[in-house]
Amino acid sequence: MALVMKLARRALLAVFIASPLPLAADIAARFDAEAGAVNVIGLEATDRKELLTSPERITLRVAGASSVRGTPFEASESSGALVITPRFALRLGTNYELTLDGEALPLVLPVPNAPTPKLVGVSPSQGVIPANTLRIYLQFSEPMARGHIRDAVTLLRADGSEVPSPFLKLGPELWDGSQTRVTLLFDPGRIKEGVGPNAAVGAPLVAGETYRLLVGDAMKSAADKTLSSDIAVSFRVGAAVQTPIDPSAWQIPTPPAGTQAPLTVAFDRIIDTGVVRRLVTLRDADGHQVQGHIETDGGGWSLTPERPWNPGDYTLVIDPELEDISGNTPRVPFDAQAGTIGTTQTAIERLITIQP
Amino acid sequence: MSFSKKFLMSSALSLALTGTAMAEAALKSAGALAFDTGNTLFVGDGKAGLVHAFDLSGIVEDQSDYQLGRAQTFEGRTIFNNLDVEIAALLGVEAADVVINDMVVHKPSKQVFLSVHRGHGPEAEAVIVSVNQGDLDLVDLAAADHSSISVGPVPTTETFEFGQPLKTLAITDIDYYNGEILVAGLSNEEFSSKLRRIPFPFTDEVSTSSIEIWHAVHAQYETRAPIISQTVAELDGVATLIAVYACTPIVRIPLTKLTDGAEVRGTMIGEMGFGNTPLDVVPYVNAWDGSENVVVTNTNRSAAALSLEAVAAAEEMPHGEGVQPVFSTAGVFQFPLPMSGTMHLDTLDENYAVVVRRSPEDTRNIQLHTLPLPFFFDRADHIVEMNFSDGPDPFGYKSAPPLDYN
Repeated sequence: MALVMKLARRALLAVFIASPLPLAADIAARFDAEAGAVNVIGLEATDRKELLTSPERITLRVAGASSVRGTPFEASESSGALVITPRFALRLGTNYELTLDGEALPLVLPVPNAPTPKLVGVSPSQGVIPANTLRIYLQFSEPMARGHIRDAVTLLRADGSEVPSPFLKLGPELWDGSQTRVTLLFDPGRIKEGVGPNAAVGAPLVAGETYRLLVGDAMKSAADKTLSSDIAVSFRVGAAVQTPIDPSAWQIPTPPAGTQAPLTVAFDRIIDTGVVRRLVTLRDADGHQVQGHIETDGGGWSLTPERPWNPGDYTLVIDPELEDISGNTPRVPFDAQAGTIGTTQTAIERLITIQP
Repeated sequence: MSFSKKFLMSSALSLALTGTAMAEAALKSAGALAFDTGNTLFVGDGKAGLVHAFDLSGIVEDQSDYQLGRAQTFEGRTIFNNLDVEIAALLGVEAADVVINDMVVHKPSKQVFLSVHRGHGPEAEAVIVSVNQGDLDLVDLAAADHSSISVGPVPTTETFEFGQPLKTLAITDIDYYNGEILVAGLSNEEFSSKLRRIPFPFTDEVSTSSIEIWHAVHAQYETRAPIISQTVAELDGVATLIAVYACTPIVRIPLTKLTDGAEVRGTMIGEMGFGNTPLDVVPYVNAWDGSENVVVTNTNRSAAALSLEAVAAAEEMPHGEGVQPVFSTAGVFQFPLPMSGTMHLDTLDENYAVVVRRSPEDTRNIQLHTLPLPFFFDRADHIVEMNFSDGPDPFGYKSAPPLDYN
């Protein structure tokens, strides 16, 4: 209880002097960013010992929080300081308070210096997309915070009116591992033939119309920075694509042997840029995957090999799960005629012969 | 001395893990939760592409002494107001930095478990929090026996950029039935309709069978779709998957049809209506009449109960030339339940369910609240004549003594 009395007396003194500065220099909590710990300096050895033997007399909380609950920590002693190591890393930019025997010590963490996020890509990037487009990817320059898509992303018609609820309302948002790319999934019920949502409120996109996808500044980065500015991406809507992907219709001019000119494939429609990177591969005559740099905008695909092309046969291998941006696969369209669902699970192959 | 007194009150709630070395977190994310019939907690970890199994024997705490409300007078109990604020305090962040992803009840002990993210960015920590006698505990997963199985894609060099997989699976539901788990999810790339059936205990060899699910929406169409939520129930003695899809049909599929690699057509028996996504399908027994049911909760509308008898007997939705489009709910009879603002639901026992919900009085207040069965109805939430001081009291609720909780 000796510590309580001392702290209490100091607090009283501070009130009378009306200047907290001398006290702050006395006992203070400092955040050690490198160790992720809080060092309390100015405590006498006996007080430190007292606190270490009964750590329940220490509470670490977010300053101003309405709950009295504290966050767990380990308490130790180092170089004359009481060291509080929280179980969960303290958040930069958040103000905490460390309470010792009821006396709160403020703990101000620096605000992190994080870059402003930008929208750096939208896929499909084509000016005209099918009316039954299922997926749009947004690529950001920074890792983003989950939970803002519903407020930040709107789809506008040419007259500026908003398309109501075009995207699937799913609890979890569909981010990649780095949280720089998010998938917007049009409500599949609005796209499918013969299901309730489509019949009741119609498709979100109408062929022949122009739309703007607006990404607003409600969008925040993981470091809590808002998007540089509202960004609108315009596109026109063409006819729905309701046929299976047809790899036999792909244009594949062959590069000359002995060069590292890219092998380019022109697709028969806009293929999903996410899926195509995994599900289209090139194999050499021995069946090994050809390594190289892949580029795709969904309309085409190119592979610049790490080594020059050998004369002879290569095989473009297309996984049957490949999808276009409307969810059609090489096996079957998104909505299949009853009884026509293909059962083949085998990959589709296109033979490419490079002339000597 | 007043300092000391105030301090004692607040410190009683703090947790000091003095001297405990924290094992490296096994979870990269924590989403859908499920228990087997014993003490194994399954955690969907979409970010890692895994389902984890933690044996919580010795960790679960019996809650049978904790009073859940008074079902006889349709009174539930608010276990927590501002649950997000309380969890935030435990995790040392502001409430805006807390995301409650799922909730499950360990039925033998009636203990509630929550999967929680601390933060919204890719580095958000995933934790499991339990409710213990009306207080919150951090579950020490490092102390539990652990196994896991992959439900994600096989990583290749093409799938990684900055060391992170581009393709992820948002695991939307896990259900345990008779020695296996069923895992539903939605990929951020393919519009995958794979339902994963995984034997438990997990085996060393990859024993996942994935099944492609279609549903017939019309005589002319069959369509591929991911299941969002599901449960397994016995219909006329046949183990049957009852599943709800993103585009809101309710579908019935006998479990025996779900074999590895199969392309299964589910029988569409109902439509939940547009502008809405189902959240959970939870089985319960109506103790009043002994009937077996499932309750379906939704993002944008209240919940609905379906009797298993009706689900079993339901005809396939009408289809064929000349059938008019379905504009709203249709098919198998759906009994509307008065549960707005429900975020997560599970049953505690035969008399109570528990919900994470937005308070009917203040939607900013996220509550952990019990609801008396079989109507998932708490009288205090509603304007009911029986609540008025001069209103009728046909069931004698007003003569019941005031509730005094432990």
